[in-house]
Amino acid sequence: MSGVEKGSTTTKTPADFLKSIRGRPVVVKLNSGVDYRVLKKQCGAFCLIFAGILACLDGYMNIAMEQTEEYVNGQLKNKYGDAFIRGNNVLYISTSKRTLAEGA
Amino acid sequence: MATEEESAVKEPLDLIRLSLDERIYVKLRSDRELRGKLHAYDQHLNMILGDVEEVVTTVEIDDETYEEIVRTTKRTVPFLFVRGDGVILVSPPLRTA
Amino acid sequence: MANNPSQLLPSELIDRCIGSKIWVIMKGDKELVGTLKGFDVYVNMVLEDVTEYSSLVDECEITAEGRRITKLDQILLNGNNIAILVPGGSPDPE
Repeated sequence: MSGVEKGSTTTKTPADFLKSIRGRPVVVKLNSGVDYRVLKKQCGAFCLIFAGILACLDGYMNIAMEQTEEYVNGQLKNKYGDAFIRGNNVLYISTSKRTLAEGA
Repeated sequence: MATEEESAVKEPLDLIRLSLDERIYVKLRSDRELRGKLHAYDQHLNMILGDVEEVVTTVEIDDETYEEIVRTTKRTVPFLFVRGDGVILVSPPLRTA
Repeated sequence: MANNPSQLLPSELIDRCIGSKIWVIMKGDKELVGTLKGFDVYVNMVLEDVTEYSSLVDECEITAEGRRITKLDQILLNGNNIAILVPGGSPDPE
């Protein structure tokens, strides 16, 4: 692609990003699609976040995580030693310099 | 293949492979959770589980008080097939925690 | 591609946004603004200094209650649910 050379010093493709975050603490936010019909809070929105150490992932954004914590609407609800997250549910994967407890 | 290779987690599905014949936890869409022994799986995460306990969580709003009523329904199924597209999360038996 | 009547392919437009702010509107109620670092054929995108906006009142935060925005350092956004991209734009100019 032509533009890549131009910006190569600052360009970071999804593949680059995925390589760079292995073994690091990450936050994974899932799609809160309407078909979830999940535990609703008051007027209805819902969010599901997993925080942990990224063990590995693949091209489908399937994710293997360690020391996983599950947050439902910001509250810690569960902990898993290892967890596999199916990639189709992933909204984004974020690097987390700050911990969840510290806040933004 | 060396045994060391077999136990390594190189891609996410390896985590599932290492859980074969173990009891796993599966979180599904629509507030469903399963715990059962993993007999087989494929790349879509279709799975065959045995001795399964299913927990379904529902929330109802009380018509008069508008309070949330959370109900969990449990049932056991000796043997079942899970279609992979409903799966949110799979957790193997606690190995590290 | 030879007969593309427009002067700019959609992917070229996105490519020109690399290094600048981009406004991403998702299917549903979510919007994000961040600096685009890169993207792939699925329009999965790497974004930096991201602000995530949830229009639903009770959409959760991992931080303070009641806020509707989330700040993130660097994310890989799944292209699956992206609806609209706006170079430079922002839902909240402040």
